[in-house]
Amino acid sequence: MAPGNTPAPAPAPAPAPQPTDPAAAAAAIKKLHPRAYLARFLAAGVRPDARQPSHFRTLRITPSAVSTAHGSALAHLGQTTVLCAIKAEVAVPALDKPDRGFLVVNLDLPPLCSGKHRPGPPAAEAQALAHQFAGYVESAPIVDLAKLCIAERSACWVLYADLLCLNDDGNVLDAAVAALVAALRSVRLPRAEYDDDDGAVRASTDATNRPITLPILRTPVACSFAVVDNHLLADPTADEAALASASVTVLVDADRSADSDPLLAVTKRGGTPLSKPQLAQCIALARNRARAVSSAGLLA
Amino acid sequence: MASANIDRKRINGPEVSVIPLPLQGEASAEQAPLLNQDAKRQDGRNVETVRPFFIKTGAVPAADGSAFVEQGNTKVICAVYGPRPDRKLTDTDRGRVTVEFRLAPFAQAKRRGFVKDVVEKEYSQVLEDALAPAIVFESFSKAAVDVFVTVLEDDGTLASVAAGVSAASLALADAGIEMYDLVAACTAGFVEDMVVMDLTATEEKLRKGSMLLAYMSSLNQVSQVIQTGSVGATTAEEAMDFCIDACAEIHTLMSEALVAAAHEAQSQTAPTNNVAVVDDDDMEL
Amino acid sequence: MTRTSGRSNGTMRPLRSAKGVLNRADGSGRFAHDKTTVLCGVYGPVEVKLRDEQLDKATLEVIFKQNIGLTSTREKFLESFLKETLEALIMTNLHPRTLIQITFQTLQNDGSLLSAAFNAACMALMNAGIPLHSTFASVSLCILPNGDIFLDPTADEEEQAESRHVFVFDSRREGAYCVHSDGPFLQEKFDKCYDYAALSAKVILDYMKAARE
Repeated sequence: MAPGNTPAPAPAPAPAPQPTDPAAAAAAIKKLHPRAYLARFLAAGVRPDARQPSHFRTLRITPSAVSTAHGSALAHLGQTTVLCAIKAEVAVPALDKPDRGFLVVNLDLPPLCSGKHRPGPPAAEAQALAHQFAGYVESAPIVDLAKLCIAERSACWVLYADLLCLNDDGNVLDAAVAALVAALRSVRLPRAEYDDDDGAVRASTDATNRPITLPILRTPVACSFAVVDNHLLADPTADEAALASASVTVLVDADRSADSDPLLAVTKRGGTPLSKPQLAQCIALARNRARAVSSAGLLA
Repeated sequence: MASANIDRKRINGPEVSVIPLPLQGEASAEQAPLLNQDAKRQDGRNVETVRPFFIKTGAVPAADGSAFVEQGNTKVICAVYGPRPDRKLTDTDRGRVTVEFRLAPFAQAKRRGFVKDVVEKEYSQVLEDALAPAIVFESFSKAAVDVFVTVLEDDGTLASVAAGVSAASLALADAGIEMYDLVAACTAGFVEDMVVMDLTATEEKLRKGSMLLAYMSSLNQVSQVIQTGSVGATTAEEAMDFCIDACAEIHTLMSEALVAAAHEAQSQTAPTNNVAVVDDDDMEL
Repeated sequence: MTRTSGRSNGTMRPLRSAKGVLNRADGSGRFAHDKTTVLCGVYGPVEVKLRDEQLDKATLEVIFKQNIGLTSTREKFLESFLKETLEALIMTNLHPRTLIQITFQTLQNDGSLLSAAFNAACMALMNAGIPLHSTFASVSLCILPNGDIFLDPTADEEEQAESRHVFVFDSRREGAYCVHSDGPFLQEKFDKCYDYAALSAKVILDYMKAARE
């Protein structure tokens, strides 16, 4: 290298163009650094959709949404939408439970509802959620299955409750429980007769001749929470749930939501451990939510 | 529903369950005739009237584009995801559109399971063929667009497919996929010697033939026509003309709905008092 | 109500464990609460499929097999439960872009199955030398219609119970890693179950420590 010739300093790299529109900047940061984006909101004590950490989204229920079904309901929890339709068929009761019918609950998360789900048979996560949901229904029965008996040991109603998630913006479980409860309340069955001679069950095919309703035993309300960076967020949206390190679901009976009444289920999944006071906080919030849902008469 | 192999990935009830038989008195009631004394159909329509259309775009906010279509009792929802990266990558000049047509378990009178059967696969192909002429595949080369059509309530299976075609093209437009034109579809049935438009589920039992026609109104091109049953050539042409007229009307409704949705979206994002949550200086993009 | 075999409400069944029982696996453990026995095999860290690869941590795959019956959604539920909890307890960031496969096989099921599975997992992971944040233990309880709380119930007791509870605790941090309670129950009973479970978990952890030596 020739002496005295110091190499010219390299020109400074041109600064990256910053979008001037704050909304576009926010959207870009949300996509690239989702955790930091959410942390900024939580530090200010609020969530990206302007909710308080302990607030649930609005629940809207539209009963009898599907006319081909014996009972149906559409539940909107914020933008999460779940449609539940119940169709009744007739079957032989189980040998060990000859005086009761069946309630078969299937929660389906089709690829329609979110970009995360791929077409084909349900993924393991979807199956696990469907099983958790069915488990809740089985351990805290909503309707008295004995009323579904047509003839002991010979015939009973089978209620197929198929739940379809139409839009997944987080917390499908809560919306699904609400849809199922509302759908069961709207079920209308025809009067069925069992003919001993030929073993056939007959019922009216007239859709207007369905006088039988189901007696409701309890009104479960599911309240799910997500733990993100030690913040407890009620009713997480899809973005918040993706960043959650733990999740809690509490099932409370809306008709019996006093502090001394029993809880129906508590499930805590995921890694971050939760202490007893934190679980108690979830349970208290869940009870409040159940009272609010009950007093709003949504599931009446 | 009886099935030899139980679906292990779903919750199952008893192995066999059936719909109850009709009551003794009702069993003798005949199928109601197509037209009553006033020459009107059971729901009050004329022979050539199509059921009114209700359209809502953006029904699935999680999707890139979506639409909900209701025609009488038929309810169809469609969501479009894409363009997104394509695993198969068969053709580097063109993108790929896959359509999945699905009937919800509770859509028809008899419950169907979750497993995809031949009918759904066939209709998925029908939808793909109906939409293909309208889509500009070159605009999203090396990417895949997935279209999911679900029939929530089926009052006339062929009519649901036609509603599915309309819903799918609305959803594709809502997603911003480049298209040559919107595709509208409608159906007709052949009952006795008449051409009857848009049959419901009860009326479908009386037909001896049917026609499904998908039409691009601005280009004046038929993207797909499927005719079944044995009918004379003039009757079939008559049906095609009726269908084309009905499709043109549906096309108008669809474009109006899309324009209205676009106006609404524009008025909502008009920057008024945008609170800047993020300071540009502490977060680098 | 007295329990069969004369156990008191707060006594656990005799525990038995073994490690290194599968000589082809990188680590294995078998844990038994009297009759309920679960065998756990750990394979890893091994090569992972490209689509499951995570750049900053190991991918966990959990497979659960029952001793009778075909797999159904119940096994998927147990798998997702186990996977989410184990993901937090295993130091997955020490083995990025690998796969750790944990397989469970129920040998005998007489109640408290999920707890036995968690405990077997702890033994197997230690046997495999997979780094853990801390050891962990799981306990099941059930509450009968008359209000009695039974620790470590058998299958018969679980069936008669009004509510069933499963807890997972670790040796270092306060708080439950995993809670699954279903069936109607009072909150004060739930709190008692939490406390009993925390105490019992310590007992099991001590047992596992002794079993290691």
